[in-house]
Formats: sequence, structure tokens, C-alpha cells
Amino acid sequence: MALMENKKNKQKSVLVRRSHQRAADEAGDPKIAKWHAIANKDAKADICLIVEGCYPFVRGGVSTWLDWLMRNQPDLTFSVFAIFPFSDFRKAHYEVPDNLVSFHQLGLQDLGKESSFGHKIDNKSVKQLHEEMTTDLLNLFDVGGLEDFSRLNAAIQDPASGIPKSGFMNSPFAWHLINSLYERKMPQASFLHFFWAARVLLGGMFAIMQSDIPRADLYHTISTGYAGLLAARAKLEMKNPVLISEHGIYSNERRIEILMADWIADTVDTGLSLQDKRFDLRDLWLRAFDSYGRTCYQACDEITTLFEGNQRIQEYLGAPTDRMHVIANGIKFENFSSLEKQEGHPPTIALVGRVVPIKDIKTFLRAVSIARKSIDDLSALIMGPTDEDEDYFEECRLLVGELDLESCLTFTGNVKLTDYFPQTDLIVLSSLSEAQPLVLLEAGAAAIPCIATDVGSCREIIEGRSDETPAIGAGGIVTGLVDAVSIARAIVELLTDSEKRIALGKTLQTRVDRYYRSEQSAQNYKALYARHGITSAQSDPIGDPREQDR
Amino acid sequence: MATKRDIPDTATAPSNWAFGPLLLLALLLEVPLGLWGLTTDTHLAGPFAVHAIICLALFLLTVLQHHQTITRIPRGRFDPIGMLVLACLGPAGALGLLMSAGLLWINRGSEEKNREWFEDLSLIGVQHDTNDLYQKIINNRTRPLGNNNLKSFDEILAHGKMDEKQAMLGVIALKYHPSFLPFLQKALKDPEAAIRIQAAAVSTKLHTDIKSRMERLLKSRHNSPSVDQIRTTVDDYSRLIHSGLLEEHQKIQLMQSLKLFLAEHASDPQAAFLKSGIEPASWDNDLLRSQTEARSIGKFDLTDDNASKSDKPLNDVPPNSPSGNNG
Repeated sequence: MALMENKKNKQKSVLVRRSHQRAADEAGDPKIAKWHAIANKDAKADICLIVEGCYPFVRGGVSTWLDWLMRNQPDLTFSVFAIFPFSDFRKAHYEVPDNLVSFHQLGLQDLGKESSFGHKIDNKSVKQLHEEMTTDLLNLFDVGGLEDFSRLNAAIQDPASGIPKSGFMNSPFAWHLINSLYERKMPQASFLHFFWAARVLLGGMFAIMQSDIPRADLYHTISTGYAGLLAARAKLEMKNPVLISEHGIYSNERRIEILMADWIADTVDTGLSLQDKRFDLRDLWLRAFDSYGRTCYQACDEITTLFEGNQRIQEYLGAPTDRMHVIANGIKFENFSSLEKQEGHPPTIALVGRVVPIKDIKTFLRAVSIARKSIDDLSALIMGPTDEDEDYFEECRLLVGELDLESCLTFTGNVKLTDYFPQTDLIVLSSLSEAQPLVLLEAGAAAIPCIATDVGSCREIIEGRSDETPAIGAGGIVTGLVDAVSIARAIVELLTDSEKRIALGKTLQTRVDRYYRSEQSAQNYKALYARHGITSAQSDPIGDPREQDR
Repeated sequence: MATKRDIPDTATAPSNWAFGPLLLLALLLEVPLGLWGLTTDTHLAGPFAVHAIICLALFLLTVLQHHQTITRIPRGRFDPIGMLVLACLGPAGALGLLMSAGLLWINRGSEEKNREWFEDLSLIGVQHDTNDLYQKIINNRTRPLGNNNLKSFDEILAHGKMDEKQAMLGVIALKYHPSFLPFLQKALKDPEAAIRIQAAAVSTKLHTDIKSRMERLLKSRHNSPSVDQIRTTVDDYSRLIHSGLLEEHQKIQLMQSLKLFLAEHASDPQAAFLKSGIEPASWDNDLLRSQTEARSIGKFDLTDDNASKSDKPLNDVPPNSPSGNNG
């Protein structure tokens, strides 16, 4: 049986390759042609990955992770449903993995042409539909979730409702819907602002509801938001398992954006009051994305993220705790563990990262300046590209001059870490925000202890997870954000006590070896899929999910 | 925004011109007659007799018209009575009345203009502080009294729920004041990761905002600025210098630029006076207040030359446009 399955999989893989090759021959660029060959292809996959705003057109951590995930599950087939503001086919930054069988794209703001649906709003059935949808939307945007979304979705999918497949947001019905929401929710506000907010929010949601769901045995979304709504639809309509694996917490990121957004008109003057409960446009945006998040979490069979800190936010945003667990990302351990330490260099610390404000390079520079008062021959490196924010780089260079660090600090630009790690004693990360910084894992694999701010999974990597058994101990020091004094103190402490520094480095190496290997991460995802019935012929036996996480 | 039904009175009074042609004819007869009588040595009895007859005829017609009008239109006004009184003043009054009629005739088609004029005077339907305030009061959108106590921020950071802390950071981001800095720094060390993340985002946003304002100010050129412009510019410098968000070298750069500006555009006593005014108190103005809020109270941020240019329509930057999930 297993042999048969194996043969089938191989045949499937060969067919996929042939299909890709044929398309490549037809078009000029083989890389682009491969993407076109699988675009909108009606091929059933084992797993449909639902992604928003990243793969394959935008480079970055999540896109790279998606590419890694597919390539590390070669026995499973995948389809990708990519959500962008508009569905123009841009240049893909990744090559098509062999087991990717179809690619679908949806533009949230492709609202279609004009539609006359709802022209006669007084018609009894249309009026009833209008009333029901208004109520369901109000409930959804209040404290609603999957139940309200389900009712709305049923109305949209019901052929008897007469709702057009395209152009719904450009119909008189949608206009009346927005009017009703306005009158019932915030008649005191500017209608113009409300209209555009509602059009964007509802337009995206209805675009999701009206899209075709690719055929698959399991749906795996990488965020809540609109991707999460499609996953919820898949759960309701396809009746198949749905998973979510979040790197950053989408709903929380949107919350932060909305709370700081200058472009949202505040129609209620709340002054500095934080207890004011009067409903405003900003609340509409917040509640919409919160409800999208709740809907997704309620629909998902399992909710995974990269580290424990994220779980607390997920729980706060409505994720059921009994479905949550952690799957960390991993690195190629051997690439770094085999590096030989070089002797005879001055005490050297390094910050690995892009020179951009989010990495808070200025705090690092101040920390170096303070630490240098205790360690004369201190050498500091900043390893990462400097061209992403040239103004910020210039400010950093001015600060280097102001702090008189020219003789001890070097901006190396983008370099190969394996060339520098042998002569680095300490890695420092002063970031304001991170998810799971791979540089800490890479440094750990090379037995270099780390000092990092308390962001993302830094504490978890350095000090271990709360349920680490047996506890391995600390692999470095965690400091506060924007706290140059604490960072400097930690630098001096570790550079002046080589025994401690070496011990911390070894501890971190042990932790990375045990919990953060790339193969282990791939195995954990394989186990995750297997728990929901998606297995390949070469599947290993699957144990308890929490054991698998480790 | 006021609607037509809010307009307390009509823009134009109801007109009744049935009497008009007769009155016009009478006036046309009376004016040359009167003028002729005044410029010649002819005995004045003739013209005055004609005048008396015309007045009597007018009076009778007026009474008749008045009766008809007030029975048909409740609260109706009858302007010809006033005109009749003027006509009775003799040729000079008739001339004045004729000129008035002429003016009325010239403006006969400008009912729309009259309405605009009325609306301008009544301030209904136009963006104005008074109307904004009126609308805010009747819609319960005004600032509540007694809730501006900064101590509540401390309380929230110590014991508040997560959404309260997030709202506080939202206020710091949108209505920044240097006195908020300690709260922001505390939030960066909050036990909740979500709050630390947001505090870091707020910090980055504020630094980016202040930096772009600084760059705009340093690049701005003034040709013979007025005293008000000088004062505003000095205010802008002052707010930036005391923002608490700039590096030492940036402050020095601003101070040097300010000195140059004052040397170029202000006389010595003025410069001394303006320099003395550079203190944190100028932060009571709304430097980093959200542009939309400033607009909603009818004010634009004067420090931002490009405020209107940089205002994007809502649909340009929707947060639903997937802003990326790339860690």
C-alpha cells in the first residue's frame, strides 16, 4: 500500500514538472512561465496555503518561510491562494516549488463593474435580505465571530438571494447597506468618511466571500484578516480541517496601525480621555479587524505561532487556548556549529541587522559608547545593509561622530556571517520589534552568547520556554527596550568574564541544537498536517503535538 | 454639516409685482413732470395737482392690493406701502423710488446670489468653528469635561487592561506632547509583549514624524516674511527643539538654523524677544496633532506646509491593503 502511494506521489510530481516545463517552453522567461502555468489551475492539492500580502511577489521572512515549508514537505502537494489589494500579476521573487500545483490570486479592491442588484429596494425579498444583512453585519462588527460570518456567507452563497458574483459593492443594494449601517451605527459622523471606510472593509470581505475556493484536503492560513476569512469560509463550505500559523499577530498589527493612523478622521473629540466609549470611525476599523480575527480563530482546528509571547496576544484576541501551540522556526545547525573560534582579536561585539529605525541602532551605539569606558579596546561591528534607509544611516554616522566611536565601530555592510562569527565574542540585538530573529539562533549554534531586547521570541531563545524540561539555563542576557545603560552593563559583564561568556554560549548552543533545527521544524509541520489526516507515504509515526513542538 | 431644513428663514421674501407696472407708470409720469415744474417759472399748481391725483390713485390701488395680499398670505408683507410713502414725498422721493426700482430690476435674476449671501451671513452650510461647535454639541461629539488628567496614564500603565494601554499609546501617537515621553518609555518596558510592540511602533512613528518636520523646516525658504510668519517659524523651531525626540546634534543644527533665520529676518530687539520665547510652553499648541482632527476643528497645522498635499483620500491607504506579513 505504501509502495503504491509512493509511486502515485512520484507520478504526480513528474506530471507537475512536465506541466511546468510545457508552460516554460511556451513563454520566454522560464521562471515566470512556471507561475503562469499553474495560475488558476483547477488541480486539487493536499494543502491550500492562504497568504496575504507576501508570497510570491514580496520578499521577506514569511515568504521565505512559505517557500521553505513547501520544499520541506516534498511528499505533499500544495496550492497557494494569494491575497493582494489588486490582482495584477507581478514579478515573482521565488521559483515555483515542484510540489506547488496551482496558484490563485485575489484582489480585494477589484470590486467589479456596476451592478443593478437591489435597484428596487422595496421589493419584499430584497428588503428582507437587506434587513438581515444589516443586522448580521452590525453583530459581526460588534462582538461577533464565526456564527455571524456564517449567516452572511450563507446569504452571499445562496443563489436565490440573487446577489451578483461580481460588482456587488457597486450595486444600489450595497449603497443602501452602507446607508443603513451609517444610520444605525454612527449617524453623527461624516457620511463621506464612513462611506469610504465601509466600502473598503465590506469590499474586502465580500471579495473574499465571492471568490472561488481552490480544492484541497486542508487549508492553512498564515494570518487572520482577509486570509483568515477565506480559511473560515473553507471550514464552513468545504468542511475540511483549517489551520493557522502566525508569525506576527495580524490583528494586533492592524490594531497598532489603526490606533496610530492619521488618515482616520476622529469625529468625536475625546481629548486625552481613554475611558470615552462614544463610537467613532477608528472603532469601526478596530472592531472590523478584531471580528475578522475572532472569526478565523473560531474556525481553525489548530492555531500555531512561533513563540509563547504571541500566544498571549492570540488568546487576548479570542483564540481558544485548547487549540494553540508553538512551532518554532529552525536553522541549519551544522552551518554554524562547525565554525572554529579565532583567538587574538580584541573584545568584539556585533549587531547583525539592517540599519533601520526598527533595529534601534542608535541605542546600540550609545551602549557601545558607555561600555567603551570600561573596555578600552572594545571593537563593535554592525553587520547588515545600510542602503534601506539612507537618512537613518546618515543619522547613525553622525551619532558615531558625536559619541567619538569612529575608531572602534565599523559598519561592515552585508557580509557572510560565517566569515565574522569566529572573531565575534558577543551578539547584541537592540531591536524594537522582532518575531523570531534567526541571528540569535545562528549565533547560538556558533556558541556565541547573545544580549537582546525583550521583543518577540528573544527571551524564549535566550532563557528558554516556560515549560522547558529539563531547564537548560540562560544563553545570554535580556534587556529592556531603548535601554542603552542595561545593554552596556550586560556587554561589560560578559566581556570581562570570559568563563561566564563561554558557558552562556554553550548553553545557547545546546538549546538551539535541541529545539531550533530546521529539520525539526519541518518535522513538526509534517506532524501537524498528519494530525489532520494529511499524510504522505513516507510519514513517520506522529505523537503528542506538544512533544512534537520540541 | 447643516442642511436646508436648518435654515431658520427663507433667503428671499415673497414678491408681488402685480402692482408694479402701475406704480412704475405713475413714477415715470411724475418724475419728468416734477423736474419740469422745479426748473421752470411755471406756476407749480399744475404739477402738484397732477401729483395729488397720482398719489390718490396710488393710494386706492395700494389699499386694494394690500387687502388682497394679507388675506391670501398669512404673515405676508406688502412692500408697496413703503414705496407709496416715498412716492408721496413728491418728485424727489419718486426719483429715489425709481432708482431703487431700477436697482431691484438689475438684480432681478439673482435669487441664487441672494441665497448665497444669506447663507454666508448665517454661516449655515459652511465650514466654520461656530458651526463645528454647534454640530459637535448637538451630536454629542464635544470633549468631555474633567477627563484630561494625565495622572490617569500612570494609573493605566500600572493597573490598566490591555485595550486601555493600547488606547493610551494611540493618544500618545496622535496627540503627542513632550510630557507623554515618560509614559512612552514606561510602556516600552511593559510586561505585555503587545504593549511593548505598540510602544516601539509609536516611538518609531514619532521619531519619523519629527524628523520629517525638521527636514521641512530646515529646507523652507522665506522671502521677506511678515511678523506673524516670523513668529510662527520661531514657534515651529521651538516646538521641535523641545520635543524631547531629537538627538543633540539635531538640536544644535536647529539652533544654528534658527539663529541664521533671525539674523536674516528679525531686527535685533525682535530677535531677542523671540529668542526669549523659545521655551517648552509653545508645546501647548498642536504640533503633532493628527491632521484629520486638526481639520475637524477647522485648523490646519501651520508647521506643515505640505499638509494638504500629503493628505491622501481614505481609499488610497486602506489597512486592508495587505501590508505584508513579512515579519
